[in-house]
Amino acid sequence: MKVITSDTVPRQTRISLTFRWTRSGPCECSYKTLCDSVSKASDGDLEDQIASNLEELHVHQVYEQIAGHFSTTRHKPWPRVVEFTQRVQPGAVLLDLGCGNGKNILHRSDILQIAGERSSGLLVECKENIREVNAADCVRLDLLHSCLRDSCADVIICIAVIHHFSSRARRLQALTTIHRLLRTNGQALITVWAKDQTKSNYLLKTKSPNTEDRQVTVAGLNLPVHENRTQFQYKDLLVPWKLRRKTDNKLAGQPESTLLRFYHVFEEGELDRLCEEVGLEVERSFYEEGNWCVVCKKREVQ
Amino acid sequence: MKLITHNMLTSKCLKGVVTGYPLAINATYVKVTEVGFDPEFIGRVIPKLDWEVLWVAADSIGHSEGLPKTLEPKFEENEEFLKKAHRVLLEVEVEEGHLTCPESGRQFPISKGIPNMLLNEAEVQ
Repeated sequence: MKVITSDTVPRQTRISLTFRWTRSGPCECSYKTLCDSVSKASDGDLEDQIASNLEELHVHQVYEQIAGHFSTTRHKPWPRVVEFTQRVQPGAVLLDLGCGNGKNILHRSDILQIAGERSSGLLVECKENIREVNAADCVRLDLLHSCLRDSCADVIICIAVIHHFSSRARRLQALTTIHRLLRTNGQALITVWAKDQTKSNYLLKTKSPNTEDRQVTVAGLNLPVHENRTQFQYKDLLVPWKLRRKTDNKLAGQPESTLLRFYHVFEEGELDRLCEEVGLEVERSFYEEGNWCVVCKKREVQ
Repeated sequence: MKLITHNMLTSKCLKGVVTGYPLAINATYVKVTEVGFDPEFIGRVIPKLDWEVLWVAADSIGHSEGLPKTLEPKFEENEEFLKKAHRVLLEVEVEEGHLTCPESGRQFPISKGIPNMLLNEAEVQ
């Protein structure tokens, strides 16, 4: 059964009575994420099936629904991304994995740029946005099971993507794909959302996090709902997206619905360690506008 | 989907598939759009491609005319050849159709010029 919901309801005072039946033997319950017998065995990482369902509901489906609106809010590439891609050597093959609406595709005719994205809605926007670029093309793909040839890329950029994977194992798998697609000595720029937002423009000074936590349960998994424009209180959370339809008058239109996107926000050094774990040598690592960014290289095989 | 992109696609991540390359092209609508010619770029990118696969792909959609089956030495100095290569690499686009895995027969649809390479979790290695 697949439950699709974007409703959130504030929690109020409630009284519940629980009757417990003590049992013995290995646990056979279906609440793997809440069950301590499972978390003890697997370091607390989410089981793959649960992680996959969570991403389907709170990443893939949300992006399909918000694609049009999202795209109108994403025009300019980040300066540090441009700085990186501008330095790419002529004749190089560049993959933009999780390209969104293609805002990071450069208007350069001397490199091949392949934009990969999972959301079909965003890809349609991307295709339109890169129409004027000579050597650029779009492919619908999944970073976990990417249908591109090994070592096909000289350069990869993966901007604001890895934080949408809900288990450590899946974040590692995504980075393994980047490693597999890079040629030896090929370079990648990877950025993720940082838990620490104190040095970015994200925080609104007038706003402080809600003291009463809102939580949403997805497939037996309790996830806190983040209060936008405040400091992150958790590492795994749901971030609201207030959906507005495209209108000619930008002031018109109250939000029609709020959708929740899953994020795993990163601590300092966390992305670096994951990269090293899959054989990507970290060359530079920096904090930029609320994101942790890593420039890494595929090591030569020893 | 441009043929330069097709050159890099594989269905190797399917369960039981060993190489999954090259994918066969079945095109129902092919579009040719004029794209600015950058001979230096074409000369530089060709060594990164599998030329035979490109030739077969171009041939399968009726665009191999005048294109050599194998690369000649010093091809990067041959302007006429580079123009032909430019055309099949960047100007010819499969808008509608599908790609087929050579081993499993799994089809990947191409719609509005975008190949859909998504797989179900049950299909992957």
